[in-house]
Amino acid sequence: MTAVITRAPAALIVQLALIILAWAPARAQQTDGFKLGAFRVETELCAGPLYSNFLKHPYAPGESDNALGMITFARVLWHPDHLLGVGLLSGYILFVSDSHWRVDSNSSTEVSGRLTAIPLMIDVSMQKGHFDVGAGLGGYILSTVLTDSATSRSSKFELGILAHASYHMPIGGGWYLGPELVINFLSYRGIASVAPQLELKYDLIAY
Amino acid sequence: MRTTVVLLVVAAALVAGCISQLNPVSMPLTVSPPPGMPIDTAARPIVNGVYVRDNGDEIFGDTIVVRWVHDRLCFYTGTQVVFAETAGALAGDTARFDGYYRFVRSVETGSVAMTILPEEGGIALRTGSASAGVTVHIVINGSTSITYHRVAPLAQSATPFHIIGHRAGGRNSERLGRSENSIAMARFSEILGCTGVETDIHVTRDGELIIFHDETFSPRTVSSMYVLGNVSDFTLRQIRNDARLLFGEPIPTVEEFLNAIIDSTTLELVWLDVKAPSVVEKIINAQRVANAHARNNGRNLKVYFGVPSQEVLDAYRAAPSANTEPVLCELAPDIARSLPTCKIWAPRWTNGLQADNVRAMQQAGYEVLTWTLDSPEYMTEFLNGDVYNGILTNYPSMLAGLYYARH
Repeated sequence: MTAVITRAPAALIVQLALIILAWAPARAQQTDGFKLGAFRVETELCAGPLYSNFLKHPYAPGESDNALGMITFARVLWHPDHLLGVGLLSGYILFVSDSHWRVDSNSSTEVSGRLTAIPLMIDVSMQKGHFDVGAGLGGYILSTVLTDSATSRSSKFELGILAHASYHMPIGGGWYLGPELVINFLSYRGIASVAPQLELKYDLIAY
Repeated sequence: MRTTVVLLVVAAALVAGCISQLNPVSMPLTVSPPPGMPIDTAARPIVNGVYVRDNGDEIFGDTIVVRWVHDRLCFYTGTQVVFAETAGALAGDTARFDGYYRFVRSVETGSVAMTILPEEGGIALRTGSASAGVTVHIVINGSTSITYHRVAPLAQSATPFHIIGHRAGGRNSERLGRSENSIAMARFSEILGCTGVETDIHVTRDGELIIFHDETFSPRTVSSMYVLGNVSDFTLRQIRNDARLLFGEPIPTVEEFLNAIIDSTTLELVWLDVKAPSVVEKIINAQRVANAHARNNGRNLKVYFGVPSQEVLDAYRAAPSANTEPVLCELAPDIARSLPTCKIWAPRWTNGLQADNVRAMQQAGYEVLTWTLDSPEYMTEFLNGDVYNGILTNYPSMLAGLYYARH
């Protein structure tokens, strides 16, 4: 028997992804030169299913190391006359909602749990044509509700990151629609998630 | 723009990686003796002692302390945080031991094979007769050889000296294959050289006492999908069923933890670090039950109620059962003296040696311990002159290496 406690490769992969995301806009600008144009503020709404993998086992008996949930969030981004835009990101993530029966020697009890999060992040994204890649840096307010014979609620703030890539088509009137892929990573807790989403974007202000 | 990109990369690295993940350690959790006859219990102390290096690799330094802990032969060094655990048997007149070593402050670990040849202590181990000398031949990782010979018995004090392991013997950051404040760690603490352990008490939402250090459940201490945030937000049943300590153990109740120490170790001291002033009365009652259980089983063990702060002191003084069980006080000497059942005064080591205060307290009948001391230089300073009665440390194996070899 041996003792093993960490999942360092996942953190490494996410760090590499972020470095690539951060490097890409700089590279694009070096290629294209600065394109002076309209400043704008855009808002994006996204929603979709979420698949999560919980990396830091061992968990309690009956708890799986993966789960299906959902994610929805909004971004407000300010794009100056550069490829890179900055803004804020928040939303709601349901990582897992589960219930099962726990059978003790004397009784059986239905146990249900729900783990959710509200991301609070600074978002940085690079837009090139109809493509958009970016990353959210900040943290998550994690909330849990656990119910057996009693219901307990608790919450905790933890650092995390989020990476997203999307393609959006103009549908008229300053509106855009398209698919987006989001990757969440809560490094401390060891939750890695991927979410295919539908994104609706609107140019709020242009000047 | 480039500055922005650089800042982003740095920020990303900080968010994703600054909460460093400790490298895993592949350390055996059990050892098995080589084939042969068991070594008689009465003959074992022949091997206990301080050994110096004759030749071979310098990995463990020039001096090691070899000591039996139950049926395991262990060794420690005082210069680095190293311990080895082996199990042995006799093949004819040759004693052989197999096990592992571990550098606690790194991931370094490996196999240890020790041999005591017939004329170098092997016959004495078989017959139980006195031996002129003992020499151990150590092979680590199957190739590197070192030879040590015994130069002195284990140093002892005129009064008992307590080697006390922090958080039941070791923290999670030491990656010892057992979680801090677990029953498994308390049992393992003796292999690390402990004669006592310090542990922490918190209270659950339904008022139950658990052994746990932090106020919150975090990935540093527990693995759980749903149990996170304040300890006091969850019931004992939820904590027991839906959370595991970092190495998979359930979070123990105070009763389970103390019973395990009484029933399955030879530890002599348990220091309860009280982190829940609201349930002082309940803690004293658990302490009373444990001390009675130890007495009834003929165990030389005392469970002490730790008073670490004014808040706990006030709650203790207001408790109906105050002054009925032994107390360890970390506050000023006059406060310790004001508590009728205080038996131990425990100043922090950063306050200095305080030799006059220590002697005065000892003359008044108190034992004096200091905490939490991890530096070999300061350990040596606090061991000099046999002034203190014990030290609380995160590195009990290093303290054992220094204490038993201090002559």
